[in-house]
Amino acid sequence: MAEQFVGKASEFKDGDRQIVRIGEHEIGIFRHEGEFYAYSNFCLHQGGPACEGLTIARVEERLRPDKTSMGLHFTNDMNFVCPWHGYEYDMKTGEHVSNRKLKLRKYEVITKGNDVYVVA
Amino acid sequence: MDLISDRGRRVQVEELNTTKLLAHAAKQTRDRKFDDVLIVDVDAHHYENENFGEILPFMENEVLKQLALAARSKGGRGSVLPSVPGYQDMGGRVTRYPLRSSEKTDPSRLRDAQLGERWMDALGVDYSCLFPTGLLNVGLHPQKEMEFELCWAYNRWVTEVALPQTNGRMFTQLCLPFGDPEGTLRCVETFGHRKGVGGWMVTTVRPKMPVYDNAYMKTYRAIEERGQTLAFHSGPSWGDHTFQSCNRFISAHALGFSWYNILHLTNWVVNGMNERFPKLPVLWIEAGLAWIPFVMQRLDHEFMLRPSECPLLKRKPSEYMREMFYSSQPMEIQDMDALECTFRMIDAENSLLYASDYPHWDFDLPSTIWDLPFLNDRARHNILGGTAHKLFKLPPRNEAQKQNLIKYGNYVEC
Amino acid sequence: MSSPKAGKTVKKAPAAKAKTAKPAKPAKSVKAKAPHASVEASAFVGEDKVHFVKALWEGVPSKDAKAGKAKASKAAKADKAPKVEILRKIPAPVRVESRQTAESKEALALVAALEAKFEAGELDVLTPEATQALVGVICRIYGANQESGNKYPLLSGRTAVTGTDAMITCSALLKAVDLQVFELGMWQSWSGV
Repeated sequence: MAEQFVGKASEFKDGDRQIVRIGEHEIGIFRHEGEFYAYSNFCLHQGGPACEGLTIARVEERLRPDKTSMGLHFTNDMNFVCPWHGYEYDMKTGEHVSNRKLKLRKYEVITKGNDVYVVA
Repeated sequence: MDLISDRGRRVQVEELNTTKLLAHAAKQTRDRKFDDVLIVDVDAHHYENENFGEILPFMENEVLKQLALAARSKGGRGSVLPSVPGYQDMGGRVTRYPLRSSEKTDPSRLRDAQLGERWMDALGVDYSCLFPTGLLNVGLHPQKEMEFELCWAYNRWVTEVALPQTNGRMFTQLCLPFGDPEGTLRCVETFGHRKGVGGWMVTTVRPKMPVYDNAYMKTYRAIEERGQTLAFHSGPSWGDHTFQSCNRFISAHALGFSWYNILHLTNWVVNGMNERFPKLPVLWIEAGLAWIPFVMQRLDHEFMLRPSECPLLKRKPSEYMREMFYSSQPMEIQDMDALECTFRMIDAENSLLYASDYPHWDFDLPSTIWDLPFLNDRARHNILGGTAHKLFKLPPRNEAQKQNLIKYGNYVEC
Repeated sequence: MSSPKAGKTVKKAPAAKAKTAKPAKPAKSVKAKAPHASVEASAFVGEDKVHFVKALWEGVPSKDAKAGKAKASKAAKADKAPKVEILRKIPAPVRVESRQTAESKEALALVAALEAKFEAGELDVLTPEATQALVGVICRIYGANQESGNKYPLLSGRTAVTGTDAMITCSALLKAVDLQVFELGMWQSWSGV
């Protein structure tokens, strides 16, 4: 495991992404709400490019206190979606949103000044 | 190119490139050395509506042809095929749907063939059975003569225009206009001998479909005599009254695909069709697998109690079911024990046929079969292509494939 | 059916080619720590599923591949740190957001406070005078924006306003400015709104 330079922080706007290959690792690096997140780019389902699809807000169904439904709504939490089949992952944890036990390998991201490194 | 995300956000993406999208699939193909394994995909699709400009002129009846062409002309307000509501693309999450039109191909050759080769090469698929997409709803058309015309035109286009451009990599089970029994037989007799025709497909998305009706017996016999297959291809129909209680697409989709095959397979078996046409290979396509043990148990149970309602049956319904064929996709890989039990119950080693369903949203890679922990090598090879090789007489594409077919007892001269 | 072997696409490698290409791509060892994911067993995901999922992205090593692994790992050690290859850069989604004003922020904060109290059952969280003042200024601002061409829906897609709420409020608005429903209909048909 070594720190690998992947780019300048100033070149990552919020919401930007970069897919890198480091040896045998293929990693998606996201900048979301100021933080960096890095995950394996291999979907846990059938191995699709998990980090290369749509980023989209999580959907929730809101209930009133009497348990009647207010329908579907976007929340402020962000997911990223594998473009092959739609496996949807939590941006902040890499967990599959409907089964939190399934999670993409998360890589540590270190920033030193303006330099961004991924530990892989 | 932009994709629509939540709250009007637009996500800029590159144009679609199937080879790039499926780069990880190509890695699986290399890692597993799929080049050495004959892989036949018995259910893959194209979007034939993109070729309607070429297809519709093949319609026979001048009046119906004029209606169809006018409906599709600029400013035309008609529609050629019935459409059902649905969100196959999951709001654009499955990006190959919205980006499809952005992919570049060589204009001098059929686009569907070029796109087909890209995904087939990535998945390691040697041959794929070309099925339409929108035409799977043709059974919902209220005019049986229009159903016939559309199937006829499509069948002509597939055999005269499309397949000759696929370098032999695609074959077909042509669309039968099942609402018109005479037209159905006419299709078999007209197109049955054409190159690349391995069998026939009946879309099971229909409000009413009596597969046991005497009107179809000549057709079944004609297919059986030709040594071809009869495939029942399922689909969802959210508008069907059965599914109008479903308030989410997932419900109508998950149930619909299995439901229509459950319905028609039950009628097929109970009416003794397997006894009447014992050499006719029947395929049940795109319904998943989990429903099969359910139907086997239900029918066996009632058969023991009500044998006088199905006197043609000499064995349990499940035994006939085991002798038919099932496409693997969408395979429910959730409970491995249940899946293993299903494979045992359907005799998967001899009855299961790999299908990708590409490019639809729930496609399966060959690795979904190859990596199953409970399969032996023979079963892997049979399911991925050996059994289909025997059914459709598709030649191996290299010596290693041929040796594997021989090794597992599947090789037939093609 | 007869499909000639001639029908190959260029990319499909014949068997011989696949063999020569193999050493360049040594398969991973079975024992190798999963490089791409951590998958935990649970009631939902059985042990077999875990192995299966791992196999899907790791590849299934053949005997030949295992033999080749020894050479590959030696070579890997000899290498220095792996290079970073940038495969793709995906730009941030374009945010479609309106200009934020201080008043808008205050209004949103006020609405949040009002909704919290209302949800808690406090129906009189606003006095009639305050309600009238708020509805009045919103009517004028919304109407002026619409007429100036800055058109947007009056309620967001996330609204909890029910059809009944809307009908009660619309009826009360019409009554307050002394309009009948038929006049609304006439105006809509004339103006095309």
